[in-house]
Amino acid sequence: MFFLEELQWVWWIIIFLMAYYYYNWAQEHLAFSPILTLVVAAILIYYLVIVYPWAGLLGWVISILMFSGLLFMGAVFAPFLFRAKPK
Amino acid sequence: MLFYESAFALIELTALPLFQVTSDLWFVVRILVFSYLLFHMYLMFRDNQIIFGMAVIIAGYFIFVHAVSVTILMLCFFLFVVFGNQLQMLVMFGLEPLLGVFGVGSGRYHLEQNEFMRLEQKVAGGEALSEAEMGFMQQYSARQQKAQTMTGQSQEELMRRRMV
Repeated sequence: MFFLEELQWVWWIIIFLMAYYYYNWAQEHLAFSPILTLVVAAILIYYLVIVYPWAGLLGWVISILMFSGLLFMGAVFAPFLFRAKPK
Repeated sequence: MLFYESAFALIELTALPLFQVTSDLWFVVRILVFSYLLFHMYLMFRDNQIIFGMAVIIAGYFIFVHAVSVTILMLCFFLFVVFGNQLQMLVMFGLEPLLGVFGVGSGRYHLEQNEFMRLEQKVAGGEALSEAEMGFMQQYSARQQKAQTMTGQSQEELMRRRMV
């Protein structure tokens, strides 16, 4: 199929971004020890990207939803979206 | 027999990979929790590497060996310390009135008081009391008098102490 091959590429890009995200997370939290950063990043990438990519994707999406501030934007735009209609 | 064996095999075949998945992800969760703890412990103890190292060993021990107990302990902390006032409110204003209907706790006092008032009205109306009712009246009034004298004594003692 034409688009399935494209989907494979998209999936590889998502996998790479997830791996980078988890490596970056380990780097942010364990900046005082480069070896520990590599160990934790290796464990996270092995389990959440290689073995259980769907669990990793779910965790990635949920963490972005919770920690990026996207939910605050809902409260910002809600008054414009659900405005009371004039009679 | 064959059916049961095949059923067990089916259950094992379906459940074991699930157990494997949960144990693997549980290990990943422990790693995440330990990393967060390390981050905060480094912020706290970065001036003293010995304390940091000991804290890391102790925290690792508790996270990786006693994770379930620690989780239960944290839940108990949140229940009794953080939400303790809510719990107390629920017990005092939710549970105690409900149990009071059956005479548990302070409800017993109210029930006895109501009974005493009912019997007093009965006596005032000129009706005769039964044996059990007479016994209850005597017991109740004796207890009341005892309580009153005890309060009076303690009050007198307090006043005497104040005067001295």
